[in-house]
Amino acid sequence: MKIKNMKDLDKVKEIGMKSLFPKGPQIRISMSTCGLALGADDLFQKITREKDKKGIKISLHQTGCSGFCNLEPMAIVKLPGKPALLYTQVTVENVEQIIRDIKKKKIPQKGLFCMIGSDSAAAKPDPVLNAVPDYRDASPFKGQHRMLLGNCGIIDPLSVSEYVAMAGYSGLFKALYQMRPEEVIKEVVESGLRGRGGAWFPTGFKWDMASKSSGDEKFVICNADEGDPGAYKDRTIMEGNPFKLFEGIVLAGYAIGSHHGIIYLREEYHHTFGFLSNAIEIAKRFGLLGKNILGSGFNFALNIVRGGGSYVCGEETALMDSLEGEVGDPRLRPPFPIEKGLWARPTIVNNVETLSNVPLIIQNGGKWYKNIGTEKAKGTKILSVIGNVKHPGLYEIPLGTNLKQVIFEMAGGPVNGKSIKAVQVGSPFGTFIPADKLNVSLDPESLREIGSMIGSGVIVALDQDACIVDILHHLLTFFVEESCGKCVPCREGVSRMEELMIEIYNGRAGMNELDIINELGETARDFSLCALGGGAPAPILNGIKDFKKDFEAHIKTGKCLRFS
Amino acid sequence: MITFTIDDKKVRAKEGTTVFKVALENGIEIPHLCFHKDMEPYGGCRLCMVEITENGSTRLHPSCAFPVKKNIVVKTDTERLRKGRKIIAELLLARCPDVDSVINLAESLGVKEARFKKMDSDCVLCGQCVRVCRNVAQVGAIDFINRGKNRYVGTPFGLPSDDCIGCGSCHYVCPTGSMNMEYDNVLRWRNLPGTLRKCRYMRMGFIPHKMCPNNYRCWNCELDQRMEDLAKTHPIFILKHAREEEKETIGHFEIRFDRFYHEGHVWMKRLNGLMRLGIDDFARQIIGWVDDMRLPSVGTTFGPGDTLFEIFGNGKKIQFYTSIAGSIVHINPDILDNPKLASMAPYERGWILTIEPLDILRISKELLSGRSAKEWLKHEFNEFHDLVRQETETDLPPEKPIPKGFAKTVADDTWKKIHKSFFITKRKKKKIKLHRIEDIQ
Amino acid sequence: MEKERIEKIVNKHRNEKSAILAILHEVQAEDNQLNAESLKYIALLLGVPYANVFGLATFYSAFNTEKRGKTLVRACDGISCHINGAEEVIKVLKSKLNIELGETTWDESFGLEKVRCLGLCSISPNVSFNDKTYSNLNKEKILEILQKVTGDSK
Ligand SMILES: Cc1cc2nc3c(=O)[nH]c(=O)nc-3n(C[C@H](O)[C@H](O)[C@H](O)COP(=O)(O)O)c2cc1C
Ligand code: SF4
Ligand code: FES
Repeated sequence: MKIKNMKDLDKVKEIGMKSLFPKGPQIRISMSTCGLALGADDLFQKITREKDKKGIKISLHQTGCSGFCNLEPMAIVKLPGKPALLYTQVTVENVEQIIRDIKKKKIPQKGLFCMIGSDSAAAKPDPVLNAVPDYRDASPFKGQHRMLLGNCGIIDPLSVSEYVAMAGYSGLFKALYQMRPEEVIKEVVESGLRGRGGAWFPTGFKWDMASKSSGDEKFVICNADEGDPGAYKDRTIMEGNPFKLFEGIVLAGYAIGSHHGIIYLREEYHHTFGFLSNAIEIAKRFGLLGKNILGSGFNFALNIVRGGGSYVCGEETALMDSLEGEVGDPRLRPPFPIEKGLWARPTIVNNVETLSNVPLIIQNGGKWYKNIGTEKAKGTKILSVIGNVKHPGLYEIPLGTNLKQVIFEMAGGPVNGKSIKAVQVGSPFGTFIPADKLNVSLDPESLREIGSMIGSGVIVALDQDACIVDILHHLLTFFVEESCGKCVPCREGVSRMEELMIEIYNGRAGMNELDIINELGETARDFSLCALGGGAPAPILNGIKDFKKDFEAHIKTGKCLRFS
Repeated sequence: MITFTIDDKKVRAKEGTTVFKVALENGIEIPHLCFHKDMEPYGGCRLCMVEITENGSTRLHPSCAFPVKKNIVVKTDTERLRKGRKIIAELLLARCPDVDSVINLAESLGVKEARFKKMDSDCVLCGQCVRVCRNVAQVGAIDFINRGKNRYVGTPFGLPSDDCIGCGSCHYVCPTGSMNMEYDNVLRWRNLPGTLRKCRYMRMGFIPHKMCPNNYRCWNCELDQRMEDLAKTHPIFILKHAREEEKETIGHFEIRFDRFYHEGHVWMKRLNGLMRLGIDDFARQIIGWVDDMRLPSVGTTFGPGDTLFEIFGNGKKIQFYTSIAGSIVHINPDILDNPKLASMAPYERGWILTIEPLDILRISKELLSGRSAKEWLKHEFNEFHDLVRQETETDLPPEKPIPKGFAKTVADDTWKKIHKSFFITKRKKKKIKLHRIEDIQ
Repeated sequence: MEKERIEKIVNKHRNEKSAILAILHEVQAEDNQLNAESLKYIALLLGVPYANVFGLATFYSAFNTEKRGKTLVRACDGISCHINGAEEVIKVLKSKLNIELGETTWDESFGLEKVRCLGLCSISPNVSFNDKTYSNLNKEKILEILQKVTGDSK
């Protein structure tokens, strides 16, 4: 059915409410890439078989990833009159017991992790649940501000009605019916939203310029080339709540006067590609993409393009080359994409997370959004905390949250009683912050002060066993492999840095070589064409400066601290 | 005119030029490697970086590509720049330790010896050859292969290229002398029988027909010497200028003002009393690509209204008629080898026939050119989109070229209508005999 | 691959040069390689130089101009996997399959590649066998999986 007016939207909302708060028992299983890797499909089949065998009616749904893949496979069990219950690491062996309990109207105990929405009116208190924390109080969810990820892992990502029930598409409806494009831009400017792809460029400003530059056609590109190793927030949003992203893209299109959007998806996300293509088809069927969106007369077509496995293609100009069917060499600027982008037409490139923020801003107003975050950086940021911490995963925090708090309280600190040695914020381009300086606020400005950056939000925690030389070597190999090879400082310079780093790693070189690496790094930083060559030296130069000890060990003994 | 500062000197410059050019005009030569005056800037070598202060913030930009702006302050020789250029020169020297031009460049920037492991490449990957081949000669026989530090310039699988026309422009622009494509191809061509030894200038599209009598020793050839004298650079750049000056687009169709057109979508060009002809962009876009043809044999005479040739592609056929009388002098030998040229470069290497018109003075009366051609094409553009809308009930986007597979998706009777309204408006009875390409070869 | 198949794929994308990545993906998915004939034919159909298409196929690491193994093993070496011991896993893969990274086994049943991040960083190290991903690996687990997979394919 096509949603054409407010009435239709309300109708869909009702359907969504019914499916979120069903009369009978319901099980939801997380079936995104990570769930599948840990056996969610077996689980799904087993439950289907088991409930048929037992002959009870249970509605079965899929959900996306909630950001904590190590807790997968997750299941949400909703019994009539009870709050929804989240179970983690559910195995095929548990299934029989769960089904048996549901049949007896009992609450299954094994793997019970937390409650979702325990304060909702429908829920009656239950003594069994007294000891079970609510979702917001259970670590690792505790302390987060899950605006963007809130629905991920809870609603069925392919169900438009459930998203609408969660206030979805109210922003787009409002924009298309009550706001002019300039007003949408004004709201985004007011909100202070800045790009989450790494450069933190003010989104409203970018849109404003793009809307003012002239062209017979304009393009909205959603950068889903999530190439930063360690990042998977965009995947989580796309697999957990794709319609929010689509809503954001259509809003961007409406604001700048574009009728054509493209999602550039990275090649490695095989599952996501099929999934998103499906989601687009569904959105079209509901009249949320394509011709006459929401009955307003606004048209917007959305396509997905798969990349070819190249990190530079995340750089916006290389991305456009790739979309035009060329080799992904970054272009010279000026001209900027907002004037001459894809096919020399005005183009905006925005990250998945950036665009997903937009529906919230339009729905609640820029003023509301402005209240979250710090003076200069508004809103939340999804951090991907990985490495040597107890609970690696995605943490959505208000900007300005303390790094120490994130590492030690939210993510549980180091494992096995070890201590944290350093934290790389904004990997791969961010610098290593030593353990004694972790007391910083996570926002672009504070981090710039100490020479680091937040980037796309990858936070790598390293414990005492890690060796910085090893990590730097790893990073350098990454940069060398992913350099496009167009400009000399990056192609030749960074690969020479890697060459020298290998020598140092093996104890075949001395302090002299470190100086050469420094010189090369400075040149690459200043002279490279794009931010890959320009950003690569930062962690290297900083690592050499701050972690002399690790280098000395390598230079003197040729041994890596990591294996000692 | 814009004024700004370079190295403390106020300069005036035309809008649209680059900092590099203005600096040169003012006697400041900025080191460079990947820049060629007749090609688009590439910005890969990063030697030409300068410090530019704009609105209070100073950044490094490649001068070869940076457009001049009002009131910017440019510094071309600072400590930071010198240091960086030195490192870049050192990196290049380590890559190509035996190449004279690189050694000289490094020396001029104060580098004698590189501190890195030496490689033995003779290519600095400036990309000039790739760009000249693809963008200027419009051939694309060579390209970058692989990425990052494994990148090199070459042909697919390292095999001799069938696309190469041996123009030698890659060799001409190469700053290190590593590009020998042309020579390798010439060696291959020397093994061909005499009737297939096409002159390089014929392959480039300068002359209609010439077989090389010199065994490809171009330095003995009068034509080669004259072309070089005339061009003062590689002759291929003349073609580029000609192309740039004389083309325009009507909707998404390209029109050339140095050509005559007639209503059957054939262009013609005068060449010393002869006429060269080919299909126009309209026909090319509609058929998508050409994979076969039927052509008259050399010597055939024809009259107004005769079908002159036919092209096939996408499972469809187009007939082209003539509005003048004459006889066939040449068939483009390249097109016999490779009919797809007609759709790849319809105005240049994809020409089809040369004819000798019976009455060359009537031509300007019979054919369209200049404004009349422009108006005619505009009319055709509108007609075409209307027709497609009516017939298929879908809109082709009016700003984009027609998709190459369009002809295939069109139903046969729609095709008939298109053909009737755009290609055979005045056809009389078919008189002359056409042959398939296999039969000609 | 047969010309008709390639034609079909290229036509599906309306012979647009911009769709070349999708075309290469689809041709490779069917043929497990992009050989000279296929690339040449794609170039012809799209009306672009052959060298250009070849350059693209070698620039992007997802494409292979040589025959790939039937099962493509992609070992993740992103930062998270690296910290959690991807090296060990890759070493085991190399020695058990008896090939280096980027190579294919002699019987063309397995190809081994390194990728940078499969997007499953909190359950690292990860290795994917075609579309099936295995997570939380260590030396023992990967041996077990290899045994199962090689057993299946033989
Ligand atoms: C080497 C390189 C890789 C990048 N990779 C990504 C990426 O994977 N995803 C992304 O959103 N932005 C990436 N960017 C940043 C983009 O160039 C661009 O700044 C961003 O997409 C703009 O969107 P935003 O304003 O929403 O942040 C990358 C930049 C560079 C230099
Ligand atoms: S900095 Fe590296 S990735 Fe960027 S253009 Fe230069 S060579 Fe390519
Ligand atoms: S000459 Fe400007 S970057 Fe090479």
